[in-house]
Amino acid sequence: MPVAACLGAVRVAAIAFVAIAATPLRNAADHVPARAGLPPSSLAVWTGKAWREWWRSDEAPDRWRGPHNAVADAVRWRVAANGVEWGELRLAGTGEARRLRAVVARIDPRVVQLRLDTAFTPGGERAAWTVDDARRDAIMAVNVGQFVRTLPWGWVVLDGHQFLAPGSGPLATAVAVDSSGTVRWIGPESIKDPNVRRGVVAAFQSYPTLLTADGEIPVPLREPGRGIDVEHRDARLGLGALPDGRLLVVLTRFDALGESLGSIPFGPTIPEFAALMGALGARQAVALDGGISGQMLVRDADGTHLWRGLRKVPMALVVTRKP
Amino acid sequence: MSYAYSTSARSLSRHGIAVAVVASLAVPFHSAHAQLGGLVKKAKDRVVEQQVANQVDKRVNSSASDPGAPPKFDDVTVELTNDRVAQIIRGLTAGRAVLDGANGSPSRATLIAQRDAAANQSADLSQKNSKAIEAYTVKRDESQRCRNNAIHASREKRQQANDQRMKELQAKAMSDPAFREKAIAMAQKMAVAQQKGDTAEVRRLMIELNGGAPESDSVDSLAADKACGSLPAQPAAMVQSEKLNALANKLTESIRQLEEQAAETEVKESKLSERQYQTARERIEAYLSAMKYNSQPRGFSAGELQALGARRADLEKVM
Repeated sequence: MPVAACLGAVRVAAIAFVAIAATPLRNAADHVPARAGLPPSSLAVWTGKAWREWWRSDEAPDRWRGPHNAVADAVRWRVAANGVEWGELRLAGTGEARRLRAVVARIDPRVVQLRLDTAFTPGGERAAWTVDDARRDAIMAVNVGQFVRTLPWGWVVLDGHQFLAPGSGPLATAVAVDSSGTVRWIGPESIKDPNVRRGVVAAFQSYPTLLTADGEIPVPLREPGRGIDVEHRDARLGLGALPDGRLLVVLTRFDALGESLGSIPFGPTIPEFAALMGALGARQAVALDGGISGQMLVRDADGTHLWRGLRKVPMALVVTRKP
Repeated sequence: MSYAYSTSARSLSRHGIAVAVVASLAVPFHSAHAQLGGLVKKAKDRVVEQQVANQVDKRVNSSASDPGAPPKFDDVTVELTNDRVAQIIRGLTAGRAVLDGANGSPSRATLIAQRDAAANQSADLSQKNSKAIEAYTVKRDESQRCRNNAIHASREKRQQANDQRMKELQAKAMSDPAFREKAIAMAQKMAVAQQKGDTAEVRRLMIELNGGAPESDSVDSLAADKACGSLPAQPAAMVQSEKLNALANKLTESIRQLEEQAAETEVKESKLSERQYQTARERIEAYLSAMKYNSQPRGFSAGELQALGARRADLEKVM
């Protein structure tokens, strides 16, 4: 058979498979007709037996109504402590994202305590927090927010006191913890209302929003030219909310030669990462500082698991047992 | 297996196996697939799925030979040539000058010193006057509780009076056709005013219909004042401490603004676009971090390693 015919057959087969693969067992996502938009790319997940393609840029859904079975089932969850579970999954994408690993954690804020820790060098010259500095009683810790040079961007509340005023931006999301331990997600409009900010004991802001309150992917993430670079690849870190109120943390790592190259900032595009958050069941999600900043710690019965970043950061979300 | 650094080795746990078994059993089985056509289709699906899986495998495994290869250079990730490294150093130097006060504002170090002084002074005041502040807090909380109860009682009383008035008006509307007609006419006028966004007119019509203005919420506060007295005055040290805290917060904001100005200057002076600059800066940080810990920098071309190596000392100075 001529090579062209072979390639043609593979392409037809691939398209046929995508059509099958794109029909989820549950009605997980709202698919839309193809549109001139996202650069061509796809994501496959390792199911334990084979790679299964579950997302394509030309068939990207506008909304996630529930997890994608293939992705959600690929995670083998392990209990770190009561209220904290974690796991990993392997992904294959396009270009530099051809070998990725995603570290995922689920946190139940009703069971554990959430706090923000900050760290700066003496004199406040530089940010200084790394996972290696996480407090000893941390079950899980991850860098949060974004920062320009030293101080975090946007709204920061520490121990009930506003440390930094809110920032503004159409895709900025604030995550706030109130005195009862309830986590609130505050959008760019609501943050202007001081009443919304009352009673908060810990809060930070980040961007861009990956999924809005109903699982919808914001328009700037669906096509180029709307203020978000939909093509750039980087290591990603995100925080999401599951429908039952638990938090979902996802950190992507470059997965060639194991974790030794994990901190290299190769990874998915922002639209791909939004899809990953949706496919893992998040209804609401925001990107945190990924790239060389992304870092995470989990402590379980087996010991301490560290995914280090290459940069020190100013602030981290730390999960501890309730006193 | 996890590739994370773990303090102890581990293998697939029994719990993991159990979860995997349960997960495999939990996959729904579609009735259509139970039919012969469904089975044939399923077999075809498997073939197609395998072909796609092979394609992905090929793509994934092709990277294993050179995992630290440079990224694809494009409009955002630009190659760090000698010229570009020089541009970035120029940007970083200009940004550092802004932090040092080159644009006329206090330097970052000065702002930090002022902020820390204010915060320390505030903490000192609070500590020295802790007894007075604690006494005030207790008294304030007592007063607040009393006021909350009084406000609640006053509001209840007003609500009951309003409910009674509403019942009377409803009864009047049932028994008095003239009043009923008037109420309907006024409701229509209110709807028109509402559509126009004329809240003053809506309020005027409401007052006319109710036969008088409702009592203002300030009545509740007055009732609380009468029952509990005013809130106790804050001790002078506490007022001063709060002022110092506000000053510290303001200075923190100023530090952040100065950092943002410095970041903007860096981009401007580098002559790169913001995205190009931020990506390049991040890659340089990764390079310096690898060099600092004597590990091989990954994800750079040979030319980039040469250019970065030649200016490493300069980069470390200004980063």
